Amino acid sequence: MSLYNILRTGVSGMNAHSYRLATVADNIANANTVGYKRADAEFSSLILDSGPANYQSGAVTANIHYEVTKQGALTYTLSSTDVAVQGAGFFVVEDSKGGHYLTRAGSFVVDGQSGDLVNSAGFALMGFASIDGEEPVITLNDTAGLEKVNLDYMNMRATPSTTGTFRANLDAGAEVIDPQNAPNTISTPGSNGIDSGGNATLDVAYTVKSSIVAYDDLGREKTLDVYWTKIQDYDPLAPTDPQWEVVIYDQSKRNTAYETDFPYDIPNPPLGAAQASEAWLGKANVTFDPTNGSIMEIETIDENGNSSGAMAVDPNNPDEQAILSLALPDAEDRLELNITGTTQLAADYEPLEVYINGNAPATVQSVGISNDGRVYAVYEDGAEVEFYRLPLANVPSPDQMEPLPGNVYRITPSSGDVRIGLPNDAGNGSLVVGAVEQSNVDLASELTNMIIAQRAYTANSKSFQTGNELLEVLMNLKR
Amino acid sequence: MSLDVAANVARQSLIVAQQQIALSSRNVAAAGDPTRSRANAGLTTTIDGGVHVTSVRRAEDIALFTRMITATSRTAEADAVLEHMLVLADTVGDPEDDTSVAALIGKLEHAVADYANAPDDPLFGQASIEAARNLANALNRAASELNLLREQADRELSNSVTEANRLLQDFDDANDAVRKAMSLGQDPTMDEDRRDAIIAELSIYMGVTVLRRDGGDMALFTDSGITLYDQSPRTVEFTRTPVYTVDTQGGIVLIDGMPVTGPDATMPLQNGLIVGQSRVRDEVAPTYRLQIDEMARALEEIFSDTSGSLFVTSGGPDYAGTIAVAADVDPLQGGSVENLRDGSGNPSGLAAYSDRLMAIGEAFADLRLWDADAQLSGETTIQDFATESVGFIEKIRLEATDLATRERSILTGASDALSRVTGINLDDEYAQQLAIERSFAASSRLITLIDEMFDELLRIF
Repeated sequence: MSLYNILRTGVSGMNAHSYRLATVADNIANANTVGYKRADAEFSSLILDSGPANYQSGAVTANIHYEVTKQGALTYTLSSTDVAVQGAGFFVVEDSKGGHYLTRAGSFVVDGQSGDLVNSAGFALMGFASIDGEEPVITLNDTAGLEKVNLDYMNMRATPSTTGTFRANLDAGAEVIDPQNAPNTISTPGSNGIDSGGNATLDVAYTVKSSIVAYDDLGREKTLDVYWTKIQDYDPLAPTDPQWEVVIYDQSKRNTAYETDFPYDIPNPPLGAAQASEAWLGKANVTFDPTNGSIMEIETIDENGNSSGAMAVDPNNPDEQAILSLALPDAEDRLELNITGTTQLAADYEPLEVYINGNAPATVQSVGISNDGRVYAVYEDGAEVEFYRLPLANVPSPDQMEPLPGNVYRITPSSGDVRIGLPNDAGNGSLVVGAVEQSNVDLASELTNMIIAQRAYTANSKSFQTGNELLEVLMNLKR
Repeated sequence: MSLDVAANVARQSLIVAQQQIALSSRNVAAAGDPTRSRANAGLTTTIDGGVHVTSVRRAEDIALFTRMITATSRTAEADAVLEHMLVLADTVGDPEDDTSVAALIGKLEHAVADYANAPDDPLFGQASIEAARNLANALNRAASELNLLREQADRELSNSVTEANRLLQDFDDANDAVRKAMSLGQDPTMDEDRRDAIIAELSIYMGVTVLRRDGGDMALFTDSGITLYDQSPRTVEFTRTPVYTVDTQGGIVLIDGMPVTGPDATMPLQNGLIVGQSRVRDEVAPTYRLQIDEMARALEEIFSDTSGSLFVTSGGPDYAGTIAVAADVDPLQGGSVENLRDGSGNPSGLAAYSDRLMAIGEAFADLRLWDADAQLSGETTIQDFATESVGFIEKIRLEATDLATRERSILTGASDALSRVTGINLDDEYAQQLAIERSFAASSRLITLIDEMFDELLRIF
């Protein structure tokens, strides 16, 4: 009986359009929710079998789908921990029960109690621990290895120095200092002011000295004295190339009784190493190319007096760099100081580049996030130390994920498995720091949708009403 | 595109205009401050076509800044030398002037010659003694004046070192602030300006080279390459010597444990107030002191005689400080002027004995050998030596004046050029403000328009 069907069809139409109105209401309500993705009702028809001579009305059902992939507009904020994803990808967050979800709502703040970075719905941001800038090991299809980004962990942490660069120009016109080693004569810093009899010599001569700062394992400042001494000049007849001696001492071990600092005491050994036999942390004889003034050859001598032998240096070859390996006192790792860029040209001595990594422990002043997802702490002295790398997760069909309260999404079988990668990698979007993603709701189209839904609802109610009236006519046939 | 996107873009534009006008107002407020440079907002386009301030940068010119701080050090050094030379020139006096040592030697020579012409007249003898007394007093005064000058230079040196240490501490704060602001993507320009101002002030005291590093960090070295600041400030050390006598060795300035003044310095400072002050204290004043000591020594020598010496000193090295008229010949001290005339050469007591006075007159004209360290002619008469000595001071004063004038004009030029490049141009700021105002007005008009469109839509209901 198709009249009954008409009633049912009308009801299904009203139902479907009330769903649509509900999505519109939700969309308008969340028009200003960070990371909200608009919902939309899509209709599908249910048509009954009908022959050529009769017609059975069917019904309509509404499927709700979410426009998760559609990017919302970015709004810039003043917080350095607000992050937005530009392009595909989601942040991985964890709720209080340890469940992992994906979200685009990137307005994170520090939770005072736990020290975690949480968004407004209370979900904690997840990242890979990346101590000392190590590349994280990523499990592609799982959230394994991810940790909550925690600020308390960053506090009071010292980073010992492991690498550094020292580049200077040495004056080609400097006088040669003869490295004699006899009593009461001048010696160079390489012999540490002690003659062959073990007595302090009168004078130690060097060409130039600068000091640089490194950090040991506990973050104590180690001031290192770098002495450069010209020990051989270019002589086309001999023939000899210009040669300089570079020696590095621990400044705290200098002899304050003399103004000349020498002789230095033997410094603390590196952690786990035996006491050194020489006072210097590292020493090298560097031969310069007389044609262009760059380093040609280096012979390093370690704190025990062992020579490496002459090694060729090619500034353009990463495997042939002039590296001084220093026995940094109270540190486990040696400090690899790269001096390759040092030149010997006819200009005054001038340090051109001095950089040593590491920092002293200090309280975290602020947390910053870089555009490639590095989470770093900014300490009181302005030093930056990286602690986490933020991954971006994605699924094959983001629109099919299940939305949950708090603007998070759960992976469903129809959305496909999660894929984890770093920002800017493999189709993942990039991060925009200091911005949040607005909802992708467009008010104007929601308003028009609302009118359309209202009209359709009214029309459906009319078909129901008409069907009802027809039934009433039928009932009235029998009196 | 939709109404919401349009509204968002217009809103971003409003925010940017606000930030720009804030920067502009800051620029205008600082227009009179020579240490401040112009700040500009760096804009980028956002994905929906809007605009966003990604950074605040300031106008800078590293080459001109370097030139400016070098000129500052040199000017300060020349000024320091000049200032002390003016004081010294005042005490030494002009050779034409009656009070100068050179003039007083001439007067003594004449008085002795007059006495030699009338050896029987004790009045001429008196006049000679008076001339000698004036000369001895002048030498004493010059000697003590030089000690005071060295004390003064030493005190100033100590002040300079204190100031340099304070500036290095301030630099540490400013440098940390810049690094922090850069790390957090905040506006570092104010701290950068502060840091540059500190460097400029530090360069008054010593020549400074600046090494710029990643993340806004800086390291400072002296012009000779000694580390002044790398992660933390190095100390500048100096011990004051409160009292100076003729052979006092002043303390040396140490930076990072390295001597930067004095003969032991392997990497001596090249420019700056500290160099000027230590040059006055350790070179100019001692050299001049040696010159007057040589004069005093020569005077004692010329008049020396067993009983008739005119001058006595307590011997080297403090000849000038202790020279005085001998008691034997000074009637005021119970002596007699005849002792000057006779010396040990008039055993028969002749009333007009003039041989010794003649000999003294000739001795004045003798060529004498002088200490080479005095940096004057090796062999001249005492009168010429005294005149040359005045010339020595004048020469240094003139050089310092020249250098100060030259470096100051370079400094003015470099500062002007720097301020043209980095300074705030009010006309330019006005023009920018007008443009910002227009953009703000247009954006707010756009927002009104979008609002009206929504109204239109809502009126359907």
